[in-house]
Amino acid sequence: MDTIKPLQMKPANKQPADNAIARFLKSQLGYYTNPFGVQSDLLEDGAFNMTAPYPGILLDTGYVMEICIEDSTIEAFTQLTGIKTVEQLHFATPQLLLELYHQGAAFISVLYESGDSCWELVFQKKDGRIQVKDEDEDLKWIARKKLEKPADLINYVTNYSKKH
Amino acid sequence: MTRAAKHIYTLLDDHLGIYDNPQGIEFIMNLDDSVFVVSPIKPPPEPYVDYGLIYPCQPFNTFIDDFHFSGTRALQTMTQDKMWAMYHKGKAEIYCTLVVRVIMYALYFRLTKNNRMIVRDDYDREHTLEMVFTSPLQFLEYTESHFYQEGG
Repeated sequence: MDTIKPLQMKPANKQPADNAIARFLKSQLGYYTNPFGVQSDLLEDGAFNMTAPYPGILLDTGYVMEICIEDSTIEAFTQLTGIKTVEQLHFATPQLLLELYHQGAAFISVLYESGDSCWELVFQKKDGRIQVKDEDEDLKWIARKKLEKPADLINYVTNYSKKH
Repeated sequence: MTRAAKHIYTLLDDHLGIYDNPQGIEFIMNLDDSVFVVSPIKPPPEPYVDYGLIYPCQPFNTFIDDFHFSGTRALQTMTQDKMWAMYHKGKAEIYCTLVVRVIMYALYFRLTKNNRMIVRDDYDREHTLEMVFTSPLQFLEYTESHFYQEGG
């Protein structure tokens, strides 16, 4: 077991939103998964998260690939996507999150589990390049390889797992 | 395991299996990775009683699925309101524990979908109550009467 690390929690400076989406999510215990598998979460301090599995791919056992928005607000999400009604939220697709990834507003998490070990890398576009983060080791760097297809990201994590 | 599940597992593991959030909700992960959550209600109906909400021990993945946590921040910001919501959904229970010197006697009450109440003891013996309790005193009086019956 690792040593105790200090809890790194950002200050809860977000005002809990009071709009149609916020009211709907609060009525659903704070979360909602739409028919496309996109999960929206409104935390109790007003932070808004959205997660979806990467669309249209079949992954080998041990791999999980998700597109995420984390620690945002409903207002920021509305500005970004134009989604402001509950009905629009029902129809938010993983492809929408993929578009946000290409705009640099969302990130892709690739997790690889093998035996008792688990590796996760986070990919986010920044200034036309892809920043890679290993949050467990608190490391980040710019990828030198071209990472365009889902298979590129999977291979990148697989290779990373062999070296760490 | 999803990204959220992995980060939550790491958070609990880094805290040696016991994490108390700033709102006083306690998350406990056992050696077999099962998790339970406790949220005491203050003040209890009597000083000799431990009283509150408990999410009973479940495998780690069930715990993540039941709470639909999207990451560690969801644990850190969780309030008792969510435990009440889980209680009304039948996923959490009200616990009422009599604590008198070395004696600890606990009963656990949960709601079912058809608005009945089921009571459980520490040996997982269950039975359905004739009514749904709502006030702390009702839970306490029932626990006390059951304790006296059991103790002869």
